[in-house]
Amino acid sequence: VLEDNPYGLLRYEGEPLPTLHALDRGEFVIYLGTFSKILSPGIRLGWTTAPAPVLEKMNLGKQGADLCSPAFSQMFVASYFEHDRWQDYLESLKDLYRRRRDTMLDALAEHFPREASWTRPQGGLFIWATLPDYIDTTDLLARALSHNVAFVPGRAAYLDGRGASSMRLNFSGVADDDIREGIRRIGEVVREQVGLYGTLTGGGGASSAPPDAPARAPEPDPDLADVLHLPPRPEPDRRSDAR
Amino acid sequence: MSRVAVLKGGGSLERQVSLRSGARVEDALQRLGHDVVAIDVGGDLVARLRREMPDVAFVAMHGRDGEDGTVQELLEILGIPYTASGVSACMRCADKVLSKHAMADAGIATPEFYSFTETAFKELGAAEALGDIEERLEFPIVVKPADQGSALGVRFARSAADVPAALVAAFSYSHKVMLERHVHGRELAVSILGDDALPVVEAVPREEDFYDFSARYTIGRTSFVCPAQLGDALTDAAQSLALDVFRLLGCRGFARVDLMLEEGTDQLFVLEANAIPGLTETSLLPMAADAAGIGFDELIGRIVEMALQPA
Repeated sequence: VLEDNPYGLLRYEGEPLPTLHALDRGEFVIYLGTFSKILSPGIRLGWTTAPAPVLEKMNLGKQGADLCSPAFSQMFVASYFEHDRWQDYLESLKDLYRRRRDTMLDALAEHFPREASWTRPQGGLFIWATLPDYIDTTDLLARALSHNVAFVPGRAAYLDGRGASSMRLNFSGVADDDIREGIRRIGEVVREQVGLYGTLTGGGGASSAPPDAPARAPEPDPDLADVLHLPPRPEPDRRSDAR
Repeated sequence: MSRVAVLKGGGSLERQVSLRSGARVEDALQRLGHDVVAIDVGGDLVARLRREMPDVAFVAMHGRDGEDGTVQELLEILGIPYTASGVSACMRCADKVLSKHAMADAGIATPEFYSFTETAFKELGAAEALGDIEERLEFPIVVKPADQGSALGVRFARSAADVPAALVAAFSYSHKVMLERHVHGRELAVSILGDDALPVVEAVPREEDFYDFSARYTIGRTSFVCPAQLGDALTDAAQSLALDVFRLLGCRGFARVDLMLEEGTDQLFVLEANAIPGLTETSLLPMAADAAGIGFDELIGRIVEMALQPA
């Protein structure tokens, strides 16, 4: 299992989630962390923990790719994290992103049509919005771009063609006013498309699903994602501890 | 040796393809000894062209602005000769509805079609006429934006239930869309260089799903055969048909005409003409030129020469 966890520390509410690495006690999980989201994206540094044989190969690959990351940047980051102030900085980032998330959630409630739904993330930098099945967000993006606003079409998140009616909205790098304006513009093109579909199907407001569209997949069972209460892997027995 | 401004990029949805076409053209022009000025087209286009004072502009742009006559109009005003078609031919090619009407009026076979603006549906109740259209065109029906290249927004509607979503998708790219009879058969592209038709290219989808357009434009899922195995008579017919379209629309220099060869009837239908087809490593016009023994550098050299010749 490869656990790529760039956003885990950016949690705005709820209990902190354990990492898969912690649940597994590092036996089958390769963990990736990054300083990109908690210090600076431009520093291009991260960290990993992995079972020893895997780590050995990763080191070889890393050396093959770029010999090593700059020693200067590594020492800078190491000395920065020796002191506690990084936690204050992280808190300030969380305050900023929490506010932007809430700005985006408010804007979505104001500007998106009632046919749309979206997540209320407890952490991270993205909201996942889902539109009616008859709107393909890859096509919608072309129309949004003509209004100078962009999002990531949901299909990019899957390998099998799902996600066609969803979009990923990023609230991290944009000021509050721009978030409101961007969501207003996306909401406008979505409303236009919903209205057009209604006209085409004779449904007027088009609040109903298309006649023979497949039913929306049921929401995933929240219990399945309840990692908080999963029993951790038992303490490995000494003999199998390769380290 | 000439001072050549290569215009590329711009704000169209085909920007990335254009950047690749442009980069490849720049390399060829440099090898040919020209003085090359690369311009990623933006708000400073006119100012830069005035400053750089090129002898000729190579328009390596696709889609909106570069292929629809806009950039050509600016070059006319500035008095800079440029490659490929002039303003009016670009406008006719960029608007598939306009070019199909021109073809139909001239007696050139193009699949039957109907076209509407968004206003027709929103304000004139055009949706009421969809049933009649569907009856005349028969399923599957191809739904496409009137003025978008690279198959963006093109959908196949297999039944009446597919039509509304296909229209919504097409209207994402354009305010005018077209419903077109689907011609089942082989997909051909004939490139024109100067006054000659180049060898025919056939696009062969690797998987037998004729209704999946994205498959056909995904690298590795479509293979291209050039010259297409058609026999002499059909090859001649396809080439002369493409030349007819090229002349009808008033094209100049080079262009590519896309055709369908209908299964069963062996009848050729013209789908569209592209005023500035792609010039990338995988594009069809360079492939056809290569099959005719014209290497890429020679192709680019001839295109520039034609632009510099007085009309």
